[in-house]
Amino acid sequence: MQAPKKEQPTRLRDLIKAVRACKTAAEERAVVAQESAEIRESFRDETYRFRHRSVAKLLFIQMMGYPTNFGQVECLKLIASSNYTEKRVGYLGLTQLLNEKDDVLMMVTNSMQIDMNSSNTQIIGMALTALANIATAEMCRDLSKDVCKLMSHNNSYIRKRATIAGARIVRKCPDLIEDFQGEVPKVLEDRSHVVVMNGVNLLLEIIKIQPNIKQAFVQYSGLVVRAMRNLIHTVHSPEHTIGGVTDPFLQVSLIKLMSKIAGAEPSEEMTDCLAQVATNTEPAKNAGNAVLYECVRTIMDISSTSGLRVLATNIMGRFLLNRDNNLRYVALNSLLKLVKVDLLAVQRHKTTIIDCLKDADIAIRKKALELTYCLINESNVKQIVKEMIDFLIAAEPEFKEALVTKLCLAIELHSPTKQWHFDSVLRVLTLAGSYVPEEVVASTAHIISSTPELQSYAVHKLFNALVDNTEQQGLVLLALWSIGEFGNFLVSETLKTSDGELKAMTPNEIIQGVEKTMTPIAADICKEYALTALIKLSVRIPQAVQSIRRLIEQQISALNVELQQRACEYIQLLGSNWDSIRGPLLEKMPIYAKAPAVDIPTTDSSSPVLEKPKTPTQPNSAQNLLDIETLIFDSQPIQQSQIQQSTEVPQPQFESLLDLFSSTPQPSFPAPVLNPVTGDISEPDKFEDFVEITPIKHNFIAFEDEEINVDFNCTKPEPDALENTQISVIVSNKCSKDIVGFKLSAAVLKHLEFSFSSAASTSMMPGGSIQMQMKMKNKAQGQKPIAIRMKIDYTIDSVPRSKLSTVDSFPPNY
Amino acid sequence: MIKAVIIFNTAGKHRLVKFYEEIPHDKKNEIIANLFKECTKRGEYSCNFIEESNLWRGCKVIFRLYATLYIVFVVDEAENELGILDLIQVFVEVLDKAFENVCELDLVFHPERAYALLEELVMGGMVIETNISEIWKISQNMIALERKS
Repeated sequence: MQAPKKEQPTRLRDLIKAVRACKTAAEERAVVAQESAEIRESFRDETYRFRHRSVAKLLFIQMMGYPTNFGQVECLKLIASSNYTEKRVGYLGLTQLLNEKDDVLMMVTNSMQIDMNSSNTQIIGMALTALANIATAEMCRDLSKDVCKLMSHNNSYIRKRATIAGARIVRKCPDLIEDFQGEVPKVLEDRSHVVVMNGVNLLLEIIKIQPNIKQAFVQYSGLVVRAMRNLIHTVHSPEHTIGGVTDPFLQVSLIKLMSKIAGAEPSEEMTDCLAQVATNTEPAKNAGNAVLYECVRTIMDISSTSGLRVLATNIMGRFLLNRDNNLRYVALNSLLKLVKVDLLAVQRHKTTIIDCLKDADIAIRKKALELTYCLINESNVKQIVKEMIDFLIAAEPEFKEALVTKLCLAIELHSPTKQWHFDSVLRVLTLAGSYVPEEVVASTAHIISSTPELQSYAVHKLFNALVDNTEQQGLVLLALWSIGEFGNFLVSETLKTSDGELKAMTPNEIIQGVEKTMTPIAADICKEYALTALIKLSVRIPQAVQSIRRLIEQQISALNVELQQRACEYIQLLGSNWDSIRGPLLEKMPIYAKAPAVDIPTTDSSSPVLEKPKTPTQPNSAQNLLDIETLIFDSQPIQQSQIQQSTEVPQPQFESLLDLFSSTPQPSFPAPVLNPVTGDISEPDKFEDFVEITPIKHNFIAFEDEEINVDFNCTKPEPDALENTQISVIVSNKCSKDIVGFKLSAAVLKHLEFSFSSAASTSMMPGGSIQMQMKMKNKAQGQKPIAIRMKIDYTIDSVPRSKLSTVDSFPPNY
Repeated sequence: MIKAVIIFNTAGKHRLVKFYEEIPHDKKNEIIANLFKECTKRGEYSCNFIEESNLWRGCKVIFRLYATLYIVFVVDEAENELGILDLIQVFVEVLDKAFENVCELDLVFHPERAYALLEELVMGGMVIETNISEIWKISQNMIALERKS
């Protein structure tokens, strides 16, 4: 077997067959590896006759995505060959197997130069193609003279290739632009359509590289317009015609060039020409539409007359009404550009654009959404937002998120009245509350708290919405917050509104409403909000204290440490010994100065609204006021007295009050404030000592999302070796499905050392948890804090998840 | 400028891969895998354009599905999307003429011919010829020369 193989290696066809016969990826890899080895072996033989066949096989192997670097030198040998087939495979291999960075490439310059002076046009063509595809700057410089010469070759096949090769040369060596600039007018007047087209492309390339020499080309505008006229008016052979349009590719290139060389003021003949193309081009086929589309792009780029612009907008309007999705897509795309220049012109197509929001094609919907958003202003916000909300009902989750984000931003920026603002957000929350960004919930809360006349209405509405629907997290949070703050309105007032009466509630109904959000499967954050709503209700609706106490008590045994701790604190607060401070402590939140503008990170900086300077945001206001985790009870003697004073002189206290809420889960007042087990509150005067020393115990949530929860319970096991920390990691499954294959990996900075004991199990049932032990040694204890980068991998329903998180909520001196 | 021309079948197997820009080997495979994912996501009546910034920064993807083959062009902002659609059509007609009713197997067994035809259509990321019969003539010429050598 071995001997004949050497004579006659496998043919490309057989290799392809062998690869196709492979049933698994591993088999395919084996076949390719075997073949690669044979090819490599065969290259050792200098007199090898089947070198071109081997390179052809390598091309195939490379296309499948396998490495083929070892074949590079062989390509060079083939190119130097005098045999046509070998040369062709060699050039093909050169452009496919080699990279611009490969040093071998330099060695080919000489062969290419020889080929460019060949008498065979095909061979010249191959050398030019290779240059245009992969030449390095050095090669470009060496061959520039030859290419320039070939641009005036008597065969158009060579001229067109030389022109494109020229484009590569100017891109790689901008200093050679001058050499080619001189050739441009000649090429633009060429008899051959393709040479003209390539000349235009070369010119576009030059202008792209050196925009400041644009001015030098304004003189060609007459030439370009003439060429264009020529194309539209004279009848050409059918082979240049596609879809009833004469050479649409050339037309598109010429029109594109017009936008670059129009100068400050486009000449009258250019404007006429564009108008003519825009009106006369046959829009029945794609080719005609491509020309029209390019025409519109140029009209928008140059400082056109308003007449031209109307023409362009009308073309786009026609495209929008077309049934072809491609046309609608480009129309939306162009209108997005136009909207910055001429909002009114685009407004005329508002209805059609809004209709596109319900298109079956998500690409169209996304574009339409972007455009719709740009069209919203004070006068039409009510109508458009209403329509967008209608689309929200039918939208699929993937689109809902984008839609909700834009919707909330529009409501925030353009709302005519606060009542309307609240109503609209409420509708969005009811329909898609889980997609609403946190900032929107916060800023709506701010609107309610800063508008006394809205409060009663808002809390009624929100309560009713909550009773109907506890699925939407955003809605639940806002409703709970409002019920806590303004629950007194719910019992005392019956409201008459345009769409019916909002009845006063009995205390029992209210507590039941809150209870609905505290089911075992509810998210912890909802339960946290609910707890605080309840404690606040204890002073707003004193009749319900018993049920409130019952609900809070249920959470004393919650798995979540935060919930457990709050519940214990609140139960203590309900005790009669705190009667005197409970009222002032649970007062309404003060109205904070300003809501931050919704600052939703957006990738499209093109949207005009966002170009306005943003309202300076106050980092510590809305979000943190809502941040229930840091609620008042992290109290200290001084802070308590501040709160008592605040009822008398609220104004100057704002700062300190805000500070109180400002921090994220605060480890600096550690757990000992409340002992969750005994429920004891330490005596206030002991605090002074406590704050300063290193906390011995520290528990916090290291990672949390809708599926899992990772708690860190840290202790310092050895009092005289404080650099050591024992962390017990508790992972719990919050979702309703089994989690399997759980894996936690961690990385730390240099000053830390850690070791891990693996968990007993890697799977969790719903509600289940697993525990792991981690030992951490902080060599720079007291100077540098502990920070851990965690990677969490697990599988739900055989869909793998991977999450990254940085845990840095350890106390600074831990 | 055209950044890449790629053909893969509906199962994601590469049939023609041509990049006109310096891209490391691994990255190429990653790009094609992502292109495949995005293309197959599109419905029958969706538009033929994909604009995902994570695919290839600042580029648009224009694709068309012919029987079992996706023909995908990745182009920069300056290109006319509709024009590229026509170009794809020209490319397919060229293949069709050269292989006489082109099918996937033709590309599988004659990749080097497909590449040669593409080189007559697009060179260094620029359209070089759009006349189908011209390209046909050149390719016949080439075959004749090959036979001779």
